[in-house]
Amino acid sequence: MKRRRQKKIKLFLLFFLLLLASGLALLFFLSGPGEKVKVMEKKEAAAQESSPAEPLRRQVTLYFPSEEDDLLHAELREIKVASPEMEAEEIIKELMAGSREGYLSPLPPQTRVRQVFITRDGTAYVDFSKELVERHPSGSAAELTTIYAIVNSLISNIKTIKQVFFLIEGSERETLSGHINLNKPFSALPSIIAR
Amino acid sequence: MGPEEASENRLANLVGPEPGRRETIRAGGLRACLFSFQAARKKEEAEHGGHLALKIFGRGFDSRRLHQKGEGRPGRKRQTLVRRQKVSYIFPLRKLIFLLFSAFILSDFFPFVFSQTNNLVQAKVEDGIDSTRVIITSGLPLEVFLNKFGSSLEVRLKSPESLRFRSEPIHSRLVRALGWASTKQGYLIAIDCSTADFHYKNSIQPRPFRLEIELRLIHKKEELPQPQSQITVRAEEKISSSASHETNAPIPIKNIGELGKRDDLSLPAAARRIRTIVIDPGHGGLETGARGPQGTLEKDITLAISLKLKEMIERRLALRVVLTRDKDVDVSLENRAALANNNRADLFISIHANGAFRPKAHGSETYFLSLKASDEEARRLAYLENNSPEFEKKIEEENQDQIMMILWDMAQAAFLKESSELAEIIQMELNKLLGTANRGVKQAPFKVLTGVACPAVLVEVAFISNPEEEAKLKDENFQASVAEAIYRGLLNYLRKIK
Repeated sequence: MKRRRQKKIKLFLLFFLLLLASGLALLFFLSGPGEKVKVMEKKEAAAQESSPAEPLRRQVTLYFPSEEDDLLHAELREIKVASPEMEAEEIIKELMAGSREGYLSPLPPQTRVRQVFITRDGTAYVDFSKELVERHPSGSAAELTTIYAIVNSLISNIKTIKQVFFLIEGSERETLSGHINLNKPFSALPSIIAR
Repeated sequence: MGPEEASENRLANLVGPEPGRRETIRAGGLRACLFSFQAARKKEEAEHGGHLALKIFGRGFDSRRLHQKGEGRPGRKRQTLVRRQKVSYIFPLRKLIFLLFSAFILSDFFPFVFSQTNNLVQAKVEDGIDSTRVIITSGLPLEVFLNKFGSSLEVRLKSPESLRFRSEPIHSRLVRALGWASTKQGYLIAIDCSTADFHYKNSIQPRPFRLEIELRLIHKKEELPQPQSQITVRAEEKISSSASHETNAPIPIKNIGELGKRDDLSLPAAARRIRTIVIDPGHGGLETGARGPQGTLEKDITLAISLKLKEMIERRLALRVVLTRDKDVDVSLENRAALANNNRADLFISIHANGAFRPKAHGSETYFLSLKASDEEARRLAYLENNSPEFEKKIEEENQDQIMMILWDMAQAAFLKESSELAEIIQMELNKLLGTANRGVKQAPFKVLTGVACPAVLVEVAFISNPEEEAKLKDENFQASVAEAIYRGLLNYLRKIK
C-alpha cells in the first residue's frame, strides 16, 4: 500500500518535472520573438489610440539642404502625435517627401524606413532600406547633408532622442559611399543649420 | 530470494488469495514488483489459478522473469499481457530523459564531443632555421586567397559552412599573432608579423585540407633577435642610400645636380623625423565614389592626382612615399589605415573629389577628423591630450604595439592637433594655387582617418558634381597644380616642425 503510494508520488513527481521542463523549454524557445511582437503591439496600440479618436497633431521643424548654400534650412510641418518611434518615422518620411518651400530633398525618394528603435539611453537606431546607399549621389558633402538633415531633424523634435545610429537593411554599415563613418552614433550638429 | 522461490511464492499467492489483497514479491534481479490481486474479486477466478495469474500479469510492473516461471500456463494470453506492461514504458522513458539530460549537461562542458569537428580550422606556427611555417588544417575543403598588407598576411578562406578556429600558442620570431574574423565573403586569418620585410610561399593540399605558408625574411643577415630594430635599420639604409639624408656627411654635389632642386636642404633637423608619407587615393575598384554629370569618376581623379603627388615628393624630397593603391582596385577603408600604420607612416594624406546634392556646390576644402567620443573614449582622450608628449615618447619605446592596440579604434585622436595644422597649411596652398573657392578647413568623422596613427588629413580637391569643376578635375594641368599645392603645403608643414 505504502509502496504503491510512493510509486505514485514518484511518478507524479516525474510527470511534474517533465511538465516543468517542457514548459521552460517552451518559454525559452518562444521568448525571443515574443518581445518583438510586444513592441509592434505597443506601436499599433499607440497609433490606434491617437488616430481614430482625434488625430492630435503637433508642429515639428525639418531641416532641408538648399540650392544656394551648404547649410540646412528649417521648414515647419505638422505630424501626428504618436510614440517617439512613430514620430521619428513620420519625420523622416516628411524629409523624403521633400520640401514645400523649394529646398532639396536630403535623401533618395526611393528610400524606406524599415524600423526605428530608441534605446533607453536615447540612441535612435534608424534602419533604412538599401536605397539610401544605392541611390545616394555620393561624395563627402552629400553624405554630410543626408546624415545631418536626418540627425538634426530627429534630435531637435523628439526629446527622447539624444543621438542617431544609422542602420542599412538591418545591419551596420561602414559609410554611405566611402566617407563618413556610420559605425558611431551622431549627435546634433547645430553649426550646419542656417540662421 | 532467487527467481525460483519467487515464482513459487507467487503461485502460492495466486492460488489462495484473499479478495482485494495486494502483495509484493521480490524476484531475483527485479526490483520490487507490485502485484495486485484485483482478480480475486470473482470467486471463480480465484479458483482458476491460471486466470488469476494472467490478471496479475496484466497489472504487473515487471513480469518478464515471472513469465518464464509460469510454464504450463496458456502461452498466448501471457504474450498479450506482456504487451500491456506499464513499467516497460516508464522505465526506458526515464532512462531516456536521464540520458538526454546528462548529454545536455555534458555538452556544455565538452562542446567538441558533441559538435562537428570537421568545421574546425586549426593553425600552428613553427619556426625553422631561416623561415617560419604557418600550417592551417581543416576537415573541410576550403578556397584560399592570400594577400600581403605591410607586415600582415591575410588568408581569406571561403567555405559554405561556418567555421571555427583554433590556434596553438605561438612562439615565433616572425609571427606575432594570428587573428580570426568572419567577413561577409567568408573567413579571414590575419597573420601578424613583426616586420613587413618577408616573402611568403604557400602550398595547398585539398583533402584533407592543409595549407602551408612559408614565411622567409628578405634580409637574412640580421637574423632577428630584435625584429623591431631591423625595420629602423632598413628604413635608414634606404633613405641614406637614396639621398644620404641620414648621414652627417656632406651631400655629394653629384646628387644635387642629378635631382635638380632638393627641397629637403632647407628643412630643419627636426623634420628628419618624418620619413614615410602615405598618400591615399580615395575609392577604387567597384567603389567608384562620386560621379560627375559627364560620368567622371572620383576614383580615377584621386588616383591621377595621387600618382603625380607621389612622383613630385619622391623627386624633390628624400622621403619614402607609399600609396594605399596604385591602380584601380578595391581597398577597404580599414586596410588603408592599417597600411599606413604598418608602414610606420609619419603623415597621411587622403585625396578625394567632392560630391553634393546641389550642382552649384564648388570649391576646395581640407578635412581632419572630428571625434564624437563616448564617455569612455572621452576619458581616454583627455588622458592623451594631457599626456601627449609622454605618449609620443612612449611610442618610440618598445611597448608601442600594446598602446597602439588599445587605441586602434581611435588612433587618430592622439594626432588631432598636428592634423589640424597640416590641414590649415595645405588648405592655404590650395587657395593660393588653384583659384577654386576656399571652403576652409573642416572637421568630420571620416572613416578612413579614424585609425591612422599619425597626422592625417583628407583633401576634397573640388566638386566633381559641379560641371565646371568636373571639367577642371579631368584636366591634367589642373591635377598637376593640385599635386603641387599639396606638395607645397607638405613642404611648409615640414619646415615648421620643431
